[in-house]
Amino acid sequence: MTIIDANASFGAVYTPTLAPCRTPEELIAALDRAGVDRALVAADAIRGGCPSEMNVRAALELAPHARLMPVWAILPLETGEFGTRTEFLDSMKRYGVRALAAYPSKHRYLLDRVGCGELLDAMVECRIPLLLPLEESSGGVGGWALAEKLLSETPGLRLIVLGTGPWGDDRLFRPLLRSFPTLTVEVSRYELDGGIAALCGKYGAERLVYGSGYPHWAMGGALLTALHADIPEADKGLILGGNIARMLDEVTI
Amino acid sequence: MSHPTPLMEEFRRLGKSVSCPIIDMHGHFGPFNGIFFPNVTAEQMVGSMDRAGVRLIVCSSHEALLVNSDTGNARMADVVRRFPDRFRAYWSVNPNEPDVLLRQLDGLAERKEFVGIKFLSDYHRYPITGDAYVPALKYAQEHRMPVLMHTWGGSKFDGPELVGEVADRYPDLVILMGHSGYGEWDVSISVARKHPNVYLELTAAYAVNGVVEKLVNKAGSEKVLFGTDLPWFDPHYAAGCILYAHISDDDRHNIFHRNAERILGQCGNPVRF
Ligand SMILES: [Zn+2]
Repeated sequence: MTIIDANASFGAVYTPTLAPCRTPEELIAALDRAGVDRALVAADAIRGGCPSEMNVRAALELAPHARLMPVWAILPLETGEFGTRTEFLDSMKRYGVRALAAYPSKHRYLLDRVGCGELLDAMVECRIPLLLPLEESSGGVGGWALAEKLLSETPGLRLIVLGTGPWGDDRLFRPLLRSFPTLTVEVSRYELDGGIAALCGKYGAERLVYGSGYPHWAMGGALLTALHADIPEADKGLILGGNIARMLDEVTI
Repeated sequence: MSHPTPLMEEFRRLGKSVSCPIIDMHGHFGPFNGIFFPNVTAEQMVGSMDRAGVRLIVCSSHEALLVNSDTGNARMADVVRRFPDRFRAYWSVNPNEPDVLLRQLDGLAERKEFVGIKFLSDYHRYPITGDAYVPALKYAQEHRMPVLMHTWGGSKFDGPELVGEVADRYPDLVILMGHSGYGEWDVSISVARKHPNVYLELTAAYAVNGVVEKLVNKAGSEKVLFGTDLPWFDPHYAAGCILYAHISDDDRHNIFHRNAERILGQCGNPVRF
């Protein structure tokens, strides 16, 4: 089984941190110890810094490490920080970026059709997954309500919501799983006892991806939970790596 | 970066360990207002425990904590009687009904289902240092019943500094700091170091990267306890955080079962597997 962590990071410490992971090399050592093959990496720098600079810098830092796949943060194209839609997609291609992330609170923009319509359409057309941390909000709408708004307004968007939990959110997101076939739930904080098995039984293992949230969250929790969920081995393979690998393969930039 | 150990590899392969059983010192029972639980019955909880090698869990009833302490504790006792090898209970007290609390203490120590007392002070908006808790604290100290307190950093009801005040007043009382005073790790550690009978319980805290190592390195693994809030959190999640933390297998044995065995034994409720 190939294990892929869909939610990892690294970066210098700018807030009190008990166990930092400062460099790609440190991240690889942590993945090795946990027996994880690859990771989608949204560098702390693309959140803490400006994506107009840090997207590329993070990609360059990750470039020597084929196991670490860079994620870029989006911004509205209107300010010109990324150039045109075509230039941005070309740049993604050049740096081997196959997944995007949105931090509308941190980067202060509206993650909606007016703010980001052109990029959202590009993501649908090119089947680029968009990672959205659940703590993010836009225009007063946050969490699962923001996910619902995004998926309603941009059908077909491959949205991966990061970090649901630790309180079980099933009442919030199960209706979204039913309504939006392109919604995927990442399980780094989905600690709910029996939650993974229940979701697989009802919606299929295709709807979940494994992530660790490392180094902000501990490496082993979601990993052992997914490895020993009460589901068939094939489903574990999908959650622990198969689903995200397929999604990244299907990107057409 | 430390290397994988035999316990890490055994849990990874089997999801549990033959040589290292787990005792969960922080469980609950029954439905809860804010969460859908897929595994909510006692039978389902036992299923989850079996999958992760949890041999025994000590629970408090959600109903007793948040709706009705008489009916909730009675249902909790019923679960222990139905699964005497797998469940023990904390008597849940409600400080906002002090007369009820006082009445319920009468004869509690003779009820073998209950090995301890549970405080949920943050939810009850009542400080652990308040007068209403005094009879329960005195009773627990006198009858060697551990008190599991929900403790949370920054709380004016059950922050770790307040735990220190209670421990000063009741030096023989065994206090289990649920969630290890989440966030105020340094204060919690200093309280646990100062008071031999104060323990740090890991529910929810384990997920914060580096917390397990910090508590073990600063307070000692003999002061750290396994807990999950089951049916909230998958025991594999808690176990995974502890297994992949940079501590030794000896520390993991302490956290997973040895400390709980010692506490329950010292409090007159030895466990035998
Ligand atoms: Zn609890």
